[in-house]
Amino acid sequence: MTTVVDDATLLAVLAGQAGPGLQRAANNGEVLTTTSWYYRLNRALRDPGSQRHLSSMAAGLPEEARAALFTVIEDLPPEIGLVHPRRLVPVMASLRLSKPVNFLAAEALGVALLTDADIRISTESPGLTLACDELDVYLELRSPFD
Amino acid sequence: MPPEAVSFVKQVLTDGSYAEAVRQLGAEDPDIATA
Repeated sequence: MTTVVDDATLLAVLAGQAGPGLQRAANNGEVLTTTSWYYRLNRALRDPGSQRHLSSMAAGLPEEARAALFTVIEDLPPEIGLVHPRRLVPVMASLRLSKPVNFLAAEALGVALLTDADIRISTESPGLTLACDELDVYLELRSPFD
Repeated sequence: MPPEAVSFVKQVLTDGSYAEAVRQLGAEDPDIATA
């Protein structure tokens, strides 16, 4: 089964710290993410203009560790799937939901519908949960390390 | 990935640092907020 993962879960996968089932699925090319979650991961860790505690912490890593972390984030392994906007945008635009969702949620829903995938998130998202219920998309809330 | 980088990832995902950064980003840009 293919799974669309959020940014925190993606980070755990990239560090080899996700659970064995998800890590194995990633190695087999059965894990996707979205550009929104991928973008948010990069912003959270790498935004040089940010005073965010997190980017400061990353900047404080030893050079080799920081380089390895940023390399894997900048150059996403080919096993992690990303759906091209050419296919994705029409599906996102065609979503008909009782309550509108933001771009991030619409993209996750679009990827899941296009690839017949589940969605796995690590933070509660009432809007995405409601939309998944309406579209019959399986949504799972789990720790990034499970 | 070097152990220091792995430890960093584990730390920020467990101590709330990553979640807080995401919350701040979402407050600035609703398109990427967890809603």
